[in-house]
Amino acid sequence: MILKQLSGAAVRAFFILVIAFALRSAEHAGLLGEDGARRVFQILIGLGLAIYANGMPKRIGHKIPETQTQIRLFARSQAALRVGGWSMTLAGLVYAGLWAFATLEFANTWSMWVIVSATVITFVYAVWAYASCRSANNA
Amino acid sequence: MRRSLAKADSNSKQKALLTLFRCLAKYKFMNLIFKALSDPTRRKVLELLRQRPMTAGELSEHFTVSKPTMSAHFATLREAGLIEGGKTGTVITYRLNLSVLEDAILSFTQALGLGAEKPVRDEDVSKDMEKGKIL
Repeated sequence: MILKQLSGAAVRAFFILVIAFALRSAEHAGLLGEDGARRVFQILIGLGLAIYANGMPKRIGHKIPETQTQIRLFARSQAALRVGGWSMTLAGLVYAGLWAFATLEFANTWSMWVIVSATVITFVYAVWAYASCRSANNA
Repeated sequence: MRRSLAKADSNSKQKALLTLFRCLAKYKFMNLIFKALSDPTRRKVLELLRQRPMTAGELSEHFTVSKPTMSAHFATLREAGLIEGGKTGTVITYRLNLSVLEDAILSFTQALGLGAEKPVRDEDVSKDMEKGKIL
């Protein structure tokens, strides 16, 4: 399973390098305008993030909870993954949109803030879900 | 020579057509998702499972339809990969298995109220059972 995930990640990394090389070559050949390669690559990164985050809520595992405690824990982790999936998917789409339509300076600054905000939302919600589970178990 | 060229051309056309059909066949999975989300009862099931995993009995309590009808709804949702079920003894527990896109489509269809005028009825399920579509 881990080997499959690693090989998948390696293939994706290889494709990213190939795309970066192809874009740079296209820019040198004059097929893309100034900063064109950078914009296209950033758009691909945004879309890649959105696609990856789209499947985030499904990565909860196949185990079905049986007891009431397990169900409560499962519901919290499911909600955390859902919030994370939504925030990161939207962030990826906004990131791609900014690099596609905004000015370079604006996109450079705000695209980072969008990703940071989504990460903070995901992290804070996950911590809150974990803390509420712990307090419910202790009660 | 001409014949062999014409044959090669027709073969490449057939291959292109086959590739196109294969690409379109991949959308069959999306059809299953849209079919599953077209019924208000099934959408309600997904709404309930958003709160927490529930047993088939717990879910059925929220509806007035018969158990075979509910089983048919669960089967459709499982087929589309929107829920997953696990059996513990005689109890089947279902949990949600939605991606962000599927979640968005669910919210969208819920907001539009698609299929609300024609939910699946017990009679429809009886007919499907007779045809052997539902076990």
